[in-house]
Formats: sequence, C-alpha cells, structure tokens
Amino acid sequence: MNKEITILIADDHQMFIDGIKSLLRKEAHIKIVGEVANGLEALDFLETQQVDLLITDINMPKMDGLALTKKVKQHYPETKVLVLSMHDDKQVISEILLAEAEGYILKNTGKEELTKAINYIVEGSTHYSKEVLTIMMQQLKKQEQNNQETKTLTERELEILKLIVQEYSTAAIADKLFISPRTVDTHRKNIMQKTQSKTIIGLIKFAFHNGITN
Amino acid sequence: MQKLSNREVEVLKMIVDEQSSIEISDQLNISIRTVETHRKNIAKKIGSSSLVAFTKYAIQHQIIEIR
Repeated sequence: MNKEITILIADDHQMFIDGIKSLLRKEAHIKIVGEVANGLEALDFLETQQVDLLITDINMPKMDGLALTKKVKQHYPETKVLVLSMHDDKQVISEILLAEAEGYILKNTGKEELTKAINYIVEGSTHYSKEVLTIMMQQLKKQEQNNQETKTLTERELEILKLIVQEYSTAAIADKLFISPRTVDTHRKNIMQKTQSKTIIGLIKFAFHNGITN
Repeated sequence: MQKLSNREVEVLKMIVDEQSSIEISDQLNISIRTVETHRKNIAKKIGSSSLVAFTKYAIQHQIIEIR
C-alpha cells in the first residue's frame, strides 16, 4: 500500500486541472488538496497547508511557474515540484532545472508517466520526460564542447593573450612576434571566440581567472 | 599611484561591468560629462586609459570579482 501523497495543482486553465484530476482519480493514494490559478495563490495556499508535491504550469499570470518553483524551494524545501508544461524550449527547461524542480514533463504526457513521475519524485527521486532529457543532453554536450574549445588555446594564442594582458597594441604584438597585424587580428578573433569573450574586458577577466597573466 | 576616490571606484566598477557612460550617468544620477571626467581622472591615476588597464586594476584591487 502506497503512502498517501498530497498534491497542490497550480494552473490558470481549469480544464487542465480537471484533466489531471481525472487522470489521477483512480489512484487511491494520491489526494489533490488544492487547486490554484497562479503562483501567488499557490504561495498563499502553502502558507496554510504544506503538501508533498506541487504540480505547476509555467505560464501563469501574476507569478509564473519558474518564480514559484524558486520560492517553494526557498521557503518550503520539503515540498517537491513537478513542472508540467507545453514548453520544450531549451532556455525554459534549463531555468526550471536550475531552480531545482524535481521533475519536468510535457503536457502531452499520458497517465502512466504522470503517476510514475509523482511516485518517483515523492520517494525522493527525480523524473524528467524523454524530450526533456534529450534537451538536457544536448545542452551538456554543447557545454562540454565549449569547455574543450576553451582548453585548446594554442601556444601562439596563449602568447598573444599574455601580450594583450600586458597592454600591447595589435601593432606592437605584430612587431614583437614578427607577424602581420592582420594575423594578430585573426588570432585575437579566435581567442575571443574560444574563450567566449564578447569584449576585451571579458577577455581580460578570462585571462586572470585562468592565470594567463604573465 | 594616487588612490581612487570612492566615486571613482564606483565608476570604474561600472565601466568594467561593461556599462556605457549613458548607463552610468543614469544610475548615478550625474551628467555624462561628469562620468567622462571621472573616467579621465581614473585614467590619469592608474596611468593608462585603456580598458585592459582599467580591468586589470579593478581585478588587482579587488574592485570586481572574477569567477
């Protein structure tokens, strides 16, 4: 026999709330104790009654699901958060994950996955739908690729970066290294790209952060 | 090297935070001309007007943190 799970649902579309309730109706151990239409109402509810799990949409008026997740994690760390959304946007998913929601599933999910997610999360695990995991993997790969690129500044690029930090101009670097100013510019562009620096200020910060200063 | 005034430290911090003179003047409620004067005085005191020098000074004097 499963332990009883209390749930609060936050969504500004009543039809959607009704849909979840109907999907979970036959799950005897799941009890929906509250329904609210936005983040502020959810926080008001949690002030009076704690729940095991908050199921929340992202787009809601007054306070959206992302701000709500952050508040809940800050003030009610015992309450787990499952985000249920139409968004498969990378940025939105990253932000929700950074806010430490225990789950993220898309709204086109069926009953089986929804109940699985609820049970996993309440037991202390996490659950992200396949689409979300794919997006997370892509993000990780991209990040790893960026890290690799940063690591692979060539000897020449390192030499030039050190001279930039020493306030050498392009012309002075060209003179010192017996190369053309154009070549220096190409190196400079590549260094900016590899270090993901948009400005010279960013580049100097990168150099100091990585000890490339003398 | 002459020490930067509190106001100059504030302006320097904003410069290396990549804010424009207009943004700095807005935030500090001073004219763009005053921002430029602060910028010139900072350059005079640290001995260079380059952004590289400004950034290095700010890092070395812990005016900004690098992560």
